[in-house]
Amino acid sequence: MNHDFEWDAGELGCGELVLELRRRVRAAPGKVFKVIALDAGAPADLPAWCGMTGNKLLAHDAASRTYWIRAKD
Amino acid sequence: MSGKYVVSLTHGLDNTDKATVAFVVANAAVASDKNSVVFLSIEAVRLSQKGAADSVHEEGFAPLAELMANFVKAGGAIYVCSPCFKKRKLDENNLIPGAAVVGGAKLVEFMSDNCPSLSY
Repeated sequence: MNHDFEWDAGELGCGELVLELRRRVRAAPGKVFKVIALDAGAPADLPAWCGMTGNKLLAHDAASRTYWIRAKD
Repeated sequence: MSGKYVVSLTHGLDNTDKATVAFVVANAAVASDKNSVVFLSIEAVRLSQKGAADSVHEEGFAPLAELMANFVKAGGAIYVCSPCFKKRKLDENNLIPGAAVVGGAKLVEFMSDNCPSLSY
């Protein structure tokens, strides 16, 4: 999947992960982010966060712990 | 779904694990576009003072002072329990940015519209 930005969040999790993610997507409305998040909670947190904030989770590859998220306009 | 969220924290340097996790969750709330408040009461009010959290860095987490600063920078507010603050003779002129000493009415007002909360 094409993306505009890639961010390797490494082991960041919980509030630290989504706070930094928010900072990044707010700076690039409408852009697609490829996010690699290794934290065990990320598969639950990132879809929930997208649902609450209006950012769109386009795809998730569990094997590579990668998420494609379109920042809301 | 309510657009507000309160994290109530009663511990400071007496339980740095709880204090750290409280601010991590508060950061998740503010990052999720919730109008977020951390309410510091009991021993947690000491964290309202500049420099008080500087020595706290729990393994596996960002330093507490950084978590608190990030919360405020993202738009979160820190309410500090007025009687707890007075009891400990803390300094209103030494508050960290984003912190405000408030009485119970201010907290009740904020929470009066079905506001979820989590306590540490």
